[in-house]
Amino acid sequence: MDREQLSALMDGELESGSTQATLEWLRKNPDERQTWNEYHLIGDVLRGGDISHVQLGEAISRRLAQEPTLLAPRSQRTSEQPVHRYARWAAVAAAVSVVTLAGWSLQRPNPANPVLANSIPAPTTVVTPSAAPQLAATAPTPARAMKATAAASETSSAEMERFAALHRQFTPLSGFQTVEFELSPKASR
Amino acid sequence: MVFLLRACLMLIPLLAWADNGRSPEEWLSFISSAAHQNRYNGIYVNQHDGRIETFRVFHTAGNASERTHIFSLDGPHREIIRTQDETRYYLHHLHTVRVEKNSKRHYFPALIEAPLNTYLDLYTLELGNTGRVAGLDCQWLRFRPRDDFRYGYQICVDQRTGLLLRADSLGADGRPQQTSFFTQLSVGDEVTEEGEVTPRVPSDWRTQVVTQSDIEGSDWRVTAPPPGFRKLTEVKMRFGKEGEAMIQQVYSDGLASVSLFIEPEDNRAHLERPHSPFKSMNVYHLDVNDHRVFVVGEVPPDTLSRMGQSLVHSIRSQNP
Repeated sequence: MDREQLSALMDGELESGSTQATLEWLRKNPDERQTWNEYHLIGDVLRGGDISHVQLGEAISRRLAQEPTLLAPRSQRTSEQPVHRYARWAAVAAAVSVVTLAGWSLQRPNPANPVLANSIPAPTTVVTPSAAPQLAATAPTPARAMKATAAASETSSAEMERFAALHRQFTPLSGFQTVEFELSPKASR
Repeated sequence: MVFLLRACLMLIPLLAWADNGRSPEEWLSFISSAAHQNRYNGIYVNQHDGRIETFRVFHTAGNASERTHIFSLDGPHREIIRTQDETRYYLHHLHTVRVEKNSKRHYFPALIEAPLNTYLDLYTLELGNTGRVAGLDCQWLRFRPRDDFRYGYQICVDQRTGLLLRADSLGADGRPQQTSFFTQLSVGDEVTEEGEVTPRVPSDWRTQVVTQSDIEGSDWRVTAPPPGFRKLTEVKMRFGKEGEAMIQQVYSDGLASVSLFIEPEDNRAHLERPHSPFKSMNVYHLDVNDHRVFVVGEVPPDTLSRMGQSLVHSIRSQNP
């Protein structure tokens, strides 16, 4: 397994068999997951715009660990139409030079775009919608606008999932608490 | 003539019931008292949207006292102990005991609860086939809604004891959306004492008490809910230490329920057209008095919008 395959996976150019193997490799290698994040960061830098490097994967994994077992089978997506073939090579070629630049620019506080990583909620909360509108607000290019829409719809779905779980814990068929929350005293209303 | 025809039509279901020997009222009373008066333990499964959770329930009854003890068998370690006066939630993973005084909440298999006449005001009860669940023979009954504000339910009732062995909430297409069913059930004196043990609570656990005044007292009120929906409970909650407080109100017609989530509006842009990721659950969103309101439930969309649109925020006087 090498990083070229990682890059190909990122571009959606892997066959479904290799995709499974690469994902398995990622699962076993935390360092490579970091590389995966960096590749995305590099891609963001290459495409321009402000950098909003949110490690959603970590937050989602923590939350998934608390979810009831999901039994519904997922449909397998295969890559039929490899797009942006150049992007894969661009990403690999730029990796060495840009990662330094990216690291440097991340370290500099940018008042116009507060680092979103700080706004990732604690593991006990679900992803709140706060991230999505901020992304939308700094989305001048079509590519970023598309990303923001996807983020908004995912967040909306995460929020809906929280509402659904909170609702279910008051129905007699399930009834058990599955979402963590603090009771808030009514006096402070 | 029309009157005569109507009278004849009304007789048809009555004749069908007469065959079985129990009227709809008698079935409801049989089921409701079975859940409270029997001594039983069993394992049941709750299933919805491709998810599954398993629970173990112990129920003891006698001398006018009653105790239900439910254990979650997968996911975080949780227990519920329900007695006449209070319900205690032992949330082991949060090191917390939550105590609800005089709670109106009830749990499978205690699905049918007094007042029983409201069920027949809102649903017609139809006798179905016989079935088999957890190795026991049971009778299928179907609750068919009398209006468009709720979906149907179907249950299979142990013919010997009257205990609910399976309950399905149905969707708009009449197919099961959420199901709870026993996989194993023992009824009677052979039940072990295991469920009568109260968990030992370590000294560093937190205890939270929710009283009835917490549940009832609120500035938010649904003024025109669809027929039969009454407020069941209200919780004010917060996510994480810094999170904004959110109110959840739950309304129920005895079978169907609706939650309203009310939180102060902040600078966040609105989520346009929220959609439910669950087939079994609908959602409606509106803004009231600088608050975001989400209305969620396994009911038709019109029920949600009617509840949301009649939500009123009464600001209390600051100087009483």
